[in-house]
Amino acid sequence: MTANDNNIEFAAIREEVQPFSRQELRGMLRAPLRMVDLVLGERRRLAANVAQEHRLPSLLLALTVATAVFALPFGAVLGAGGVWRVAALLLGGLAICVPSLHVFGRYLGAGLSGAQTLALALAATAVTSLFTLAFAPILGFLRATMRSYPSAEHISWGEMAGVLLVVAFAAGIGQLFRLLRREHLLRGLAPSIGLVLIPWLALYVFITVRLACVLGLV
Amino acid sequence: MRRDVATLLAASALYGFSIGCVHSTRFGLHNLIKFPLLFLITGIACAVAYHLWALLVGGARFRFVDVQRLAMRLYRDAALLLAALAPANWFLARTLAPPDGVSLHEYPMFLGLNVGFIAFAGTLALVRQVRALARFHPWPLSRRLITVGGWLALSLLVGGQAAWTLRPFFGVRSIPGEKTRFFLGSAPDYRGSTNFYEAVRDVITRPTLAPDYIQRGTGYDAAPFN
Repeated sequence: MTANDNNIEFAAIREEVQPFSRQELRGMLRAPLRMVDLVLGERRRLAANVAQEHRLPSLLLALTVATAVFALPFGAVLGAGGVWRVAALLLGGLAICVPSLHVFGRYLGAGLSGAQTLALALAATAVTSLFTLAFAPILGFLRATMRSYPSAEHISWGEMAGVLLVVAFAAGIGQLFRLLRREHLLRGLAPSIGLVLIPWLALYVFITVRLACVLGLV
Repeated sequence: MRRDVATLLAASALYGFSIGCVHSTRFGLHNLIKFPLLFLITGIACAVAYHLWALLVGGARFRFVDVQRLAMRLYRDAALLLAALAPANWFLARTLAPPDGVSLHEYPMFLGLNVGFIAFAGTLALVRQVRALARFHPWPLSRRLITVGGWLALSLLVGGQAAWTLRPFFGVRSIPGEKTRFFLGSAPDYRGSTNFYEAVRDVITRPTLAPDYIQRGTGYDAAPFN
């Protein structure tokens, strides 16, 4: 396949996929549940927004709001005083680790700008946050039906909350991989990002666990 | 959807009654409420997670209602198949050699048979829903399997704990029915497990039994655990 063929293919993809418009992104801020389409249902359109840098500020705002808002119910089930803690964990871990992803990615030849890298990382945390929203009723049920023992012999609902958080993080990380490896528009921009992604994930997990300890979640 | 829910409730109540009769008619009648409740609690607690899982795996726009309908049909089919086995189950429950002070006799066989029934009905329902999913989206088989398998895993995670809270469903006849609580909740079982996840762990690790383990299981134990 020649470079010309590649260009034709990318042009065809660009024609097919319409990125989210400013009106759609603003509409999502008014009706947050529509963000499910943004972060999960319309992955290709989200990739188009990032690849074409189309309405990136609005997209970043929508994803940040999604991450913060969707994490609140899980935090509320953990304890009324710490409603904000899960949201802080997600956004804090991201804020600490995104610079390393961007700089190492650029160093190894990925053609993503800082805003694009941030949008991709936020898309992953928004998926994590969305899954914490889905798990909130499950955790509520576990909290209502399980005893909380201070003993190591027994499994408490707090430990199950940790398991659910890990699953939610896995879903978010899976989405990041799918965006970078399966979406043609992004794969073309960051062909070497795979080299950075695995070590970066190790750092991200390490930092997130430490942050969870600091926030009193572990 | 309403019809599916009604069928699910009726079929699961019938099957629940048949398994409860292994202890007594009282336990059978309790199960008329408890078994449908088990499906309902699991379905409601997992509803949002089912939807997001389908979107995560498929990446396609599924309507929330469509996902609930598919997941509900998975339950409904399994409950219907189990209800079809209820007469045979009831007959076995009333005729098996009941446990006594010496031995459990045929009670473990009844439990094992029902585990087999549930696994068989669940597998058939799963296969049917994997096929039904193809009507919504022309996904490859592997992706449909992952979607429905994920729903099952979620159901097991929540349904296991729901079943633990709502137990006893079967009940060894040596436990007096009139002295046993309707829901045992987080009361420890004979191993000392207080929730489903501990019970699974204890089945694998087999901890030492407490000296008074045979007196446990009514929900009124003096010591919650050792």
